[in-house]
Amino acid sequence: MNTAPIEIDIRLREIMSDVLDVDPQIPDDFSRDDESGWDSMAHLRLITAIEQAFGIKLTMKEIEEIRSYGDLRARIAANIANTANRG
Amino acid sequence: MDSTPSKHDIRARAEALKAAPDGAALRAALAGLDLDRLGPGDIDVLWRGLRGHDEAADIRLAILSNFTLDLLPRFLAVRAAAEGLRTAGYTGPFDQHVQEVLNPDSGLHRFRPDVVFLALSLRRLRPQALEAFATLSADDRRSLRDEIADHLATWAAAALERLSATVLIANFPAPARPLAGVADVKADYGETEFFLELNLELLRRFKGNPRLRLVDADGLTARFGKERVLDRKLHYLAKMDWSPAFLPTVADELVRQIRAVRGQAKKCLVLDLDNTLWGGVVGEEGPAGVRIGPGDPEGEAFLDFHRRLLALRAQGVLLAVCSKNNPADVAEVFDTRPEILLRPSHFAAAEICWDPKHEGLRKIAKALNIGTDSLVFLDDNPAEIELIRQLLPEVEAVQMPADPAEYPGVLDRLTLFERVAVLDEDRQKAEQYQQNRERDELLTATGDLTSFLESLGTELEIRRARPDDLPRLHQLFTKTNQFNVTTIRYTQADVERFAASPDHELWVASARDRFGDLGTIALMLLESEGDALRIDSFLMSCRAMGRGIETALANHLKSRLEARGARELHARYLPTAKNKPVETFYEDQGFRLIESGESGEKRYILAAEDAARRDCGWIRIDVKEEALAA
Repeated sequence: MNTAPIEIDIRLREIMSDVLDVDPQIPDDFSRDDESGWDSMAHLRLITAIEQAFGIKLTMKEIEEIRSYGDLRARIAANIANTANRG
Repeated sequence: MDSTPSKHDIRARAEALKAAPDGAALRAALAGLDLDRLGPGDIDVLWRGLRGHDEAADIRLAILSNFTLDLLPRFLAVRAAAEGLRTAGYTGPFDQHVQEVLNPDSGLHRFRPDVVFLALSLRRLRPQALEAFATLSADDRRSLRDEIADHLATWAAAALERLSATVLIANFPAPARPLAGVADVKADYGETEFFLELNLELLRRFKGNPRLRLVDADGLTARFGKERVLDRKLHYLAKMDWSPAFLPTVADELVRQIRAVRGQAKKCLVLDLDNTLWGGVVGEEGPAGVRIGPGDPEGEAFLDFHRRLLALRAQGVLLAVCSKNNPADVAEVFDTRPEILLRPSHFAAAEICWDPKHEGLRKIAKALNIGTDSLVFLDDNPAEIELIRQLLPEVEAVQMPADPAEYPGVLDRLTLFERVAVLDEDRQKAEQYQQNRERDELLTATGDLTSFLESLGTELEIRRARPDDLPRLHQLFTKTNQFNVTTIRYTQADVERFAASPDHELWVASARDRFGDLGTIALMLLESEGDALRIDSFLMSCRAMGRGIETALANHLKSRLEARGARELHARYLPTAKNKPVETFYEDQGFRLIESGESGEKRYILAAEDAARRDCGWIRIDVKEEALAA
């Protein structure tokens, strides 16, 4: 799994664009409040796709707390780092 | 992990789906894509390519549930598109399966579904009882079982009465592990016993009504893996009791149900021989060298494949052979290798020669009196598969896998032979085609058509439709292509309505001759319109064609004028790609052509005074007048 921060950005934007049907040029502060299509069901589709793509597991608390593109990227990076440390 | 398809590939396919004008294009857009190996977000991209064409849907499927199934329609739409079917989906509001059916203004009623799928979580249906399950007495558990079965049966009755749709009801998946552990099987009515009996009860109760079907959700969860069906996180966050990973399995089952309900199952499976029915090439290894039979791993795999083919044949699928070989070599294989399970008599047709296979397939279809679009073709040679895909795209051509170990599984994955129920007609069909071959031989022997028809000794019974005829009549409506003057595909609900209506006469004919029983082969639907009788539908199975039965049936319709005191018969012919054989049927029966449309449709009138019967003296006819018993 490629985990350089730039790689996370590229893949995450691709997945968000596919799942939410938004333009791939996603700004860092892109948030659930900005996008009506990012409803609770879409959020779970997005989380499921991200878990599959990055090989990570987010907790229910993390999933509830994620509000924006920036939140997501931070969570993914932290999870990958944790997994790497444990491994 | 096997690689998932590239994002670029998926987007190109979504574009192709968006532009697809018909089912063949949908199928082509997804050809070769393994839907079980989609990457993250791929299903959403593909689904967007299909959205917004609900009016063009082949089937409208409504989903009712007390857990979250909002993601199922997209999996279903993509899975169905891969099979060339366009679906429109509706997901009812959470936990309102009763209200949706009872309220005539509900979203469900406004959606006008062809199929309704109900899947309920037991825990949400009866929370208190399930909460207390561990402490319930055996008697309480038994009453719970009956109470739940009653609830579903009552709901089903209401749904069937208020909707013309086919109703699918999921049974209840037994949990991955019983609460009492291994001791559960020793308990007085444990959890295992409870679920087995509840599901058995549902299966038995739902068997009788052709518009009501059980979906074995318990079996689906077992096939997929019960521990993976529930993603606890999604369950707590969104009441999603079936994880997205499980939904392709559910979608596959629903596509099979849809295929069965639509009733356009393929009719014949055409098989290559070398490396398809046995291992090796007869021309090279010789009859003794081909691998088939016990004691050899490949030989055992081919035997299993034969067993599966024989099971298909027992359900009414015709088997045929199309092989490039010397007929004498092939005959020698069958003669000298008695361990081969499939025998030459099991094949309804065979083309063993060196001609190109698309010609062979055309000849087989012609010999069986079916369209090439009713054929499925299996071959190990990719070049043959490609040839058929290009020259006969209406044939479903299936490439055999590299390893014979995988051969039996090929038939598991085909949804093309799914049917609502295996009727007696289906079970006898393969035999009936064998009898047809014997009849043809008789014709060749007698040489003269009239003496041939006399010698067949055809007996025809014409009767009012009885309740036990209705499933077969629905099947005739959905499957008959050639001898079908109007080709209106009535649903099971329509058939029930016609049978009960005083303004309609639904007539059925069955036939037999010295070679055997042809079964129920024709139906005629009349509607009374003032002082006229209108022939709404007139159709006959192709295996009964060519012996004057149609004339005997037309005579019968003429006799209805007198019986009902009507002045004239009205009829029409609506052309399709398939019904050329009946283009001049009404002219031949003495009807007067009164109007011919530009697209080939024709209208006819036959006045009572002109309704002369035509001769078909070689058929013994027995008309049973009694109307449909209540």
